[in-house]
Amino acid sequence: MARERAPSAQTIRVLSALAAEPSRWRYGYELTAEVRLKSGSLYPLLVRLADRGLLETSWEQGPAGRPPRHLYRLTASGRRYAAAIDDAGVVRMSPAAPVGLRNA
Amino acid sequence: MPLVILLLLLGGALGVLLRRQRVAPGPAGAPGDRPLRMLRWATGLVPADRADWGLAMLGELDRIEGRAERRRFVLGCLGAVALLPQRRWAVGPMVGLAVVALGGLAVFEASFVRFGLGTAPFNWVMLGLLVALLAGLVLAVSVWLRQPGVAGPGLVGGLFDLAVWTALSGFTFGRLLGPTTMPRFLAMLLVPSVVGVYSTMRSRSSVVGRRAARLAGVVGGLGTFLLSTVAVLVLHGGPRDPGASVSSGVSEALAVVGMASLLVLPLAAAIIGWAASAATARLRPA
Repeated sequence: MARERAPSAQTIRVLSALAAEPSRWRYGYELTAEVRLKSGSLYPLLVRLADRGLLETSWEQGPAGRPPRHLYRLTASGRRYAAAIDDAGVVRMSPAAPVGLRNA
Repeated sequence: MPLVILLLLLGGALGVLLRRQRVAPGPAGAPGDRPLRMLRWATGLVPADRADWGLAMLGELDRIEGRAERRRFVLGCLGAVALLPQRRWAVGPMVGLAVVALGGLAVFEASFVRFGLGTAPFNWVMLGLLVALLAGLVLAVSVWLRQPGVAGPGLVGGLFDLAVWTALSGFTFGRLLGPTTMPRFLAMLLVPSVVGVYSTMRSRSSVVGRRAARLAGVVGGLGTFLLSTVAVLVLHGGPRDPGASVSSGVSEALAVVGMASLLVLPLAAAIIGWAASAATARLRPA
């Protein structure tokens, strides 16, 4: 049976931010500012969450001549995962994210 | 050695000339600022199955204002491109090459601690330069291995390059550390050329051909680095001038081996492969 690894503090911060308003689509740059992560850390993390089916992505078409923007929000599995992490108290163990998911 | 440098310069000049003739000017009105150029280049390295993430970064950069903030975002994205999760099949070769690089570094550092390098009083500077080169090569490999059409020819070419070098050395440490013979010199020219031509013809892209040739050069360089450092230790520096001490022989051989394996070989493969793929793309356009 595969053992699931505990999420990193950075993952918890991103999940926390996304779980705060789970129905709202978020921009990558907006997330970097909100969770205070550099783009170099955020994007690999988003890729892993999407690969695991915890994150859904969409495109927002911009004005003519400008590139589209990628949008992110948690899937139903992602919301359950975030809730499970909160229940397990992992968030409280993380110094980088002292606020629980429910309180975020 | 002057002949090698001259050939490398000629190969590089030929590649530049051929490439310039093929590159069309950018679209009129494109911002073309440095962060955007850097990010476009970096996202070109993103593997096909992750291409949407490269586009996502470009889309975000388009909305970021302020030079410093754009630069910070792009620098982070450069790291992200290197750290994007690997395809499953690329993990094995990546781990293998990392082990080879770390093995070579371990042997090299053990020798360095005992004998120093033949570059006193700049030994630590030299060691730092070699470690930085090694780290850069491993990082480059991690990016190229994820490129479609690059990994196969690059890995096979690099291993073939290494096999040819060791075979031409008679599978002996002594000749591996000896002066570069004409057959070994020709192999250094031919292998990256073959990889560049083959990859360009197969993928119909000179970009793929150039990257495959670079990967072959780095794989060959890393393998040579490991073998040569072991040879230096086993042979106590190999052939040396009469009267020279073991310590000076080892330290001088280490400096030569490090620069030859981690700088000259990969650079030569990159320039030769670049010229070969550019020439192939020109002669047989897609």
